[in-house]
Amino acid sequence: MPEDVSIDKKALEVGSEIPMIEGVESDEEFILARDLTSAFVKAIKAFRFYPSDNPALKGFQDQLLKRFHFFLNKFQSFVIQVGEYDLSFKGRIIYENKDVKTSLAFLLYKDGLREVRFMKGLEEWEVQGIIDVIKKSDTINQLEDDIVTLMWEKDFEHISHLATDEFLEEMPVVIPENVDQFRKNLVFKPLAHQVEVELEEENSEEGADLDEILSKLTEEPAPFVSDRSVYFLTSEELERLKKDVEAELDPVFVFTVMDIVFEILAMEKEPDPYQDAVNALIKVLDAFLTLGEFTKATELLKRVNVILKTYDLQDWQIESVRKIIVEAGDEVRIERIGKVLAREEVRLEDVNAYLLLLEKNSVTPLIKLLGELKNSKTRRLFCDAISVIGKDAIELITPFIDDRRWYLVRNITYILGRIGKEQSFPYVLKAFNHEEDRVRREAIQALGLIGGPKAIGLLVRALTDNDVRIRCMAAINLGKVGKEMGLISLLEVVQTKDFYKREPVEIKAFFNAIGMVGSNEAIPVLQQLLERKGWFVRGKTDEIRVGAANAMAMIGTPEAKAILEVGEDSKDESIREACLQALKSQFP
Amino acid sequence: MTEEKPILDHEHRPTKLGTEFITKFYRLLKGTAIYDRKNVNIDRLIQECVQTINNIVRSEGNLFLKIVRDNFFFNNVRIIVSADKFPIFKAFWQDMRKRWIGEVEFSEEVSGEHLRDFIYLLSGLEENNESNYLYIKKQLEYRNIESIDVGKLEFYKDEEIYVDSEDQKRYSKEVYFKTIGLVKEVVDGINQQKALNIRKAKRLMQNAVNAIMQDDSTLLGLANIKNYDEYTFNHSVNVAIYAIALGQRIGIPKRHLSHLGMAGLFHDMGKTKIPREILNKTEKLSPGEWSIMRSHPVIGTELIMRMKEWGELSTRMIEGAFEHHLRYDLTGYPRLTRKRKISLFGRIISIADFYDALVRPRVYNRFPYVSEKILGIMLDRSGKDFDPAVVKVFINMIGIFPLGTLVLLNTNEMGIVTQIQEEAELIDRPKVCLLYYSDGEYRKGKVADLREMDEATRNFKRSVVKTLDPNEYNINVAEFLM
Repeated sequence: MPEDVSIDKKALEVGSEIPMIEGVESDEEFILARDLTSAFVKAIKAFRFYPSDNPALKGFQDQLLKRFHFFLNKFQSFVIQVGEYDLSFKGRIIYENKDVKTSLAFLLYKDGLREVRFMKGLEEWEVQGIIDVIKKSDTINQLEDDIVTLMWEKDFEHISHLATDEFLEEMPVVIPENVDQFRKNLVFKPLAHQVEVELEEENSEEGADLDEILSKLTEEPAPFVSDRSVYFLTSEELERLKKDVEAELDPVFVFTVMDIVFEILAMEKEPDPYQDAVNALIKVLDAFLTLGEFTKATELLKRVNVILKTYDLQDWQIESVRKIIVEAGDEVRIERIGKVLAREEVRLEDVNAYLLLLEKNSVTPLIKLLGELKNSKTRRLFCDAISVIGKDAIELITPFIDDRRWYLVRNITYILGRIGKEQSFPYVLKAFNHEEDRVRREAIQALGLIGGPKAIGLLVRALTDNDVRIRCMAAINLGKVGKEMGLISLLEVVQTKDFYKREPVEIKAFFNAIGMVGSNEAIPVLQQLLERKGWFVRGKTDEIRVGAANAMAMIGTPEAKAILEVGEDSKDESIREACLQALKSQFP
Repeated sequence: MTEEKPILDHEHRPTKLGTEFITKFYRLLKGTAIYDRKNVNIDRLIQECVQTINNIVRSEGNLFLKIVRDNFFFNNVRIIVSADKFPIFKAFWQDMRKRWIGEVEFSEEVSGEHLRDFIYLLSGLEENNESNYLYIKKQLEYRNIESIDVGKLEFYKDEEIYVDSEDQKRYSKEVYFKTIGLVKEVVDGINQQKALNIRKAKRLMQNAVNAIMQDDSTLLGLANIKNYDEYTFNHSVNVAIYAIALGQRIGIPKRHLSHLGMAGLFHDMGKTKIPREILNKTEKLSPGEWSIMRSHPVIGTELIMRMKEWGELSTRMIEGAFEHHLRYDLTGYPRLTRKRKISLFGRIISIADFYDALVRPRVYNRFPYVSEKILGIMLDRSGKDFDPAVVKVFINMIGIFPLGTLVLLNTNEMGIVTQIQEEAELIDRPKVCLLYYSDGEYRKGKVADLREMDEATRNFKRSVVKTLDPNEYNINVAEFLM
């Protein structure tokens, strides 16, 4: 006999529910039946009491299965009759509980169950299944299901049941015993008289008259009666039917309802059913997002956009349909996306395609999610998407510049830069002054994208920053957007006494920046730096000359080119080399 | 050089051999009901069966057929039943189940005489006797037949046990009329904007599936009762029954059959919102009225969406309501903005709906009961209005002369079809209850099996010449089907 699992919860006790009956100690079958029932009740209680991921539940289930196997191997079957408050085995009560809230018997009885039979060969999935059914009965919608319907759907092989449906009838239904009764009880009004027969190809508006069609048929038996081959299935047809059945049983078939709902939206003109269709689509969308089916979710939104753009809609219809897109980007859905991204690998292109269809109401939830994302690629994707969605709504983005998480502030700065609007400037300034260098560097990049006098002013300031990377980035960005104002500052820096002491990468960055400005005004300074005899270390002289030569090559004007060509013939080898390389790179 | 027939791989072989055996064996078993031991037709059937059995035993070593629930296992491998063989398997299963025989084994090659003895033993068994297998074992032992053995049917679900076929009929009738009551309730409920009692519908449809899986003839028979005086809500129930029976044959699993039944039951729900004056109009509808009538698939879909949370079941119901007039080639209604494939459930319900609507007589203008002509129309329009393969399965299910058809035989006898043959080759040879005229009315005579052949001429003794309108003869078809 299998040992009991120890139970330390009072709630799981079943002592009072399993009656002690005198004089049955010699009846082995009854004792075992009682013990099995006790184990069953305990298992049910455990599954209803503990959360589903509690490891103790496996123990209860295994215990129960062992007891079942023990009993069934000995006695072949275990049949319990279900009373209102009790369970009986061979006419004797083995369980009783009159508390309707906790009584297992009542739970089964109220749904019409009257007998449950377990057969030898009972399998683990069946034990789990019946526990699931009973557990689920706590929460099912009684208008839709009950224990009997759930048990039927499980299609157990070794568990069967007897149930009554009488309690479902509000009034008794007369089952006619003979024809007279059948006729007498035909009290129902006609549902439809019209036989819809559209057998005529040319029929457009009217239905064809059946009598007319049939009257044209001869009295001879239909040809197929003699030619039976016309109703024998071919192997191709059999194969196709098999595939159709498989497709129909695939759980994703539920999404086919989407096509039907879109058709309803195309046809329906009344507000209430229209809204129902919209709500149905939202549910489908939710399902897609939950499953991580971003491609399908995108397709749904695209179809919604097609409706908005191509259908002749009334205002209330437009508002109703737009609700789908608005809800597609609300907090709940965005959170759902976050959960999917956290648990599984998804194609980021698919997520991106979905995000780009959202409206600005999605910006705030997207930013909130952005703050939680771990993967850098995903973060970049979200940033790019937000910069597209929120390009006309930076007021939704800017509040996050004060977030305590530096990485989010960096992302916001990136977004503002991508949007590139001057009204972002005060917020990028905050980032520029942030304590975290990585944020400040992002601010420099953003300033380079925003442009304008204020941005240029800040970039100029950044040329003398303590951080070399910031200085380099500032230089490059000034080169992109600075024009004359930026050029002056850049030239000033490269002419400073100790510019040569700077790291090669910085020297290169400044000269490249000057080259990017592309103005002849830089040529005199560059020429001077190119030709200046170095009173500093030779290597450094070379770096300066190379930088200056490259800058002139990048400027690319005839004047700049002329100087380089002259330099090609210089007696000084390093000048010659610098000019040669510069000319090669820009004028191959 | 001719190519050799490819050898079937291991997976398909049990299905092929098992199917071959069951087909021959079942034919032989049915033959015993018509012919006695010495009849030459039985000789022929025995010969065919012996050949099959011995070929199998020679190639496989033995032949062991086992029935577990509603599955067949050939030498311990499950036979995959295709749609075209479904009727035979189903009928064989019912016959063996009634006899409580779950296993048949041929351990060696068998002689014709031994097989004859065995088959007549099997045929003569008492129904619903759990000890039948012991009786056969004993008889086989007594006759020194060592190559054949039988075993008891292993598992039997209580809710499907009927003491006899009358029990089964009673259960089926209960299901049928309760479902009609449910439909009425639903229609009233919709008009009063009450919540839909899905649970009750589910229970009934699950019971319907149970009944049909046991033996679909009773429910199909009830579906064929066409009341000539008044219309009922039968149509929705009939469509559900036809759909479940058809779906079973196609291979849709049990759980999904109940959903198919639900979809069939509610396919015309949209008509509850069509004005009565249009619904009840006896003359031809005007174009405007047709337009309103044709909105019922959309209305039905909307009603379901409103009343039921989106999920597996509601999707099925929506498919049934929306698609049943679309036609296979999508030229029906509602007109779609985008082409899509009609679901299998939609195609099934479309056929069931069309058939039941057409075979329904009308009060004001009776016409002959021309179901084989209706089926002919369906075949003719398959590929356009209907899925060709599903139509074929339907015809095989309904029979060319469905249950309740009044037929005239070449012997000038009249009869009512009471049972359709399972084999496609014999679809035009149902069992009919012969009628005789006495005291001013037609009465039930004996049941004739149109497969029966004349020993001498080897021709069929009786054949259907034409179908007749029961009204012209004041015959109540319902009497034979209730």
